[in-house]
Amino acid sequence: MADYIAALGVCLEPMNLVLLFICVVAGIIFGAVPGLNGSLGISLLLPITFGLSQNASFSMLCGMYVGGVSGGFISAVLLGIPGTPSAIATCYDGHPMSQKGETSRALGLGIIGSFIGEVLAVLIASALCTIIADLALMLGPWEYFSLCICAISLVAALSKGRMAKGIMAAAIGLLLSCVGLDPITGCARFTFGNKALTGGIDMTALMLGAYALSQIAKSYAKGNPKLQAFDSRNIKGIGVRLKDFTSNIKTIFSSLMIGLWIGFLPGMGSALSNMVSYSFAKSTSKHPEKFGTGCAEGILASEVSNNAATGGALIPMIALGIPGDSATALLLAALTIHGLTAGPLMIQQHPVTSYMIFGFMLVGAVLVLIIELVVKRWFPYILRIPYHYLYTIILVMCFIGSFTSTNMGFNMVVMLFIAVLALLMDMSGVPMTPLVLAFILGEKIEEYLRKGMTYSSEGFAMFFTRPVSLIFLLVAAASILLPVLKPLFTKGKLSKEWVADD
Amino acid sequence: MKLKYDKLFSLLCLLAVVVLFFNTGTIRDLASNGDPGARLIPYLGEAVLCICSLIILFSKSDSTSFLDKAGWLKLLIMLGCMVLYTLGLIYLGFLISTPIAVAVFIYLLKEDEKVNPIVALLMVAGLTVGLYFMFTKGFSILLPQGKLF
Repeated sequence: MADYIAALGVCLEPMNLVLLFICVVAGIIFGAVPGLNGSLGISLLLPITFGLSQNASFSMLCGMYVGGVSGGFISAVLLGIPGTPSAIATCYDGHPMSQKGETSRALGLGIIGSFIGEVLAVLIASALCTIIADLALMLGPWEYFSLCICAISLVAALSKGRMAKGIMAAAIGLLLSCVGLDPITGCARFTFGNKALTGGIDMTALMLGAYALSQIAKSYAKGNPKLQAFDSRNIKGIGVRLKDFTSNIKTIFSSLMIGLWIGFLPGMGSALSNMVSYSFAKSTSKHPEKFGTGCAEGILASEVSNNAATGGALIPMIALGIPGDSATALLLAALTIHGLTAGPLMIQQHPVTSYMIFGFMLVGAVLVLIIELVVKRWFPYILRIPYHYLYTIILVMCFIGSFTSTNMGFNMVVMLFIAVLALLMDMSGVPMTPLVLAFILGEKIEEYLRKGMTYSSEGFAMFFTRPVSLIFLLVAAASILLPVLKPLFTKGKLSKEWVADD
Repeated sequence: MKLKYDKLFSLLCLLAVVVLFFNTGTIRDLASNGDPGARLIPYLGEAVLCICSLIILFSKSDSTSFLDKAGWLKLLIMLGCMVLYTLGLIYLGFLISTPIAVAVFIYLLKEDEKVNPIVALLMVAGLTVGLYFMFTKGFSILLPQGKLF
């Protein structure tokens, strides 16, 4: 408790508050503008934080994260276009409510729903983190290896399109993580005689290439979306009623739990949680026919859940060193840059830093609430920022960011290579998330596997004889085999019915 | 017969697997007692990539059209400009290549919209100077100096 209060004290220092405020505003803009998102903002901020103190760095990164996830509902309500994938379900009821003349109410529900999801999730996550970290200390390299494999297989199996493409992306990420020196013996791999590759593929270059450069190039090639103008005269006051929340307590609670759980699962995050939560709320509602026509329950289900996922994603990041989503993957990189290793020992060795991250998320959520309620009337102006100026700034910052990350011009070449790879994968329908997760976890997977085999005379068998490790491996196998075997069982059932009818 | 994008990508991956497989054989193997060595994970990754590529290659394609002809041209132009900016930063440095790149990107990205030349000029100067001072003076981070100067 004392560490938590000390961490909150750090968060409330004037300089940190100012940086947090600036980055929350920037995050809201990144979240609101379709085509941009908080992860992109964090990628751009990462090189800037190299020269800053730990506290200042995390205030900026957490501010961008919280603002980015929250801001997605703005264009979802005003234009019916989600600012980020985490606000897709908000469009279903947010935009219809706005079209009925209740724009202020829709925005108010989004703002307060985001706040509720974020604050409650972060408080629960900070309590659970310590428990999970203590449990994680009982695990050995065998369990960690199996956990990493389970995380990657879950993400690959749930990829849109075919599972083979998800696993292919994970394999590419694993191979990219092998570039450089091997973590145990220091042998050079896949450097092709280039000394610049001895340090491996830089995380910043990968993220900027995959999420910024490729997206801007694709958006330009397909034609930037022409966003219609919106009349802001309809936006007055807070707009919401207490009854909007008191009559939807059950939905708020279920969305919070769904968001927390999905955020906890590696590689999933807000993009999935808002859809799952909306579907669940609709299926369990007393009035499912009202969903899609502009009902408060629909907006709350989406916004509470997508913000709760950010709290959930922090748990594996801090307690296990496994990112919950792409944004926490970047936060993990920031921890490494500042000499910290995320994992179960982090809370023990650096308790104030661990709680400081939660603290910045909490204070950031409060700032988001205040800023969004105060400037609600000016939201339509965010959507009028010309793409040609916005994208130009982002492009230049990408190149500078990738250079400053390693102080080598070659890193910009790597970033371009990743951008081309991301475009090829996009064309082929191969998802990017498994690649990023496998890249981040690749070195750890190898380290745990080789250590596990060295520590025991049983070799591979140890991974199957230890119960927790076996459970994780079984979950991994089930996530891959079930989608393949399920249609076979369904076919069998159909043919039996045919025989019975005959 | 026109190849679908995903099958083409699978072929590229198979080619990459062949190259990487031979390269993996050249990795020094300092395996000690119980340690499988530095080649294990690369071989594992290559095997999985090979299997997935073959599955995609010999199964029904689900990839859809990505861009039309005009879109492909725009994509190549944008990537070309990015490559030129990279070369400019490496050889000419930040202060020479960035103003040129900003102007090019603004006029490329504006498409049909009208851009006020004065606003564009202010953006060119503001972005270059702003980023220069922010990184070098503010954060004490070096920007590309350029190999030729």
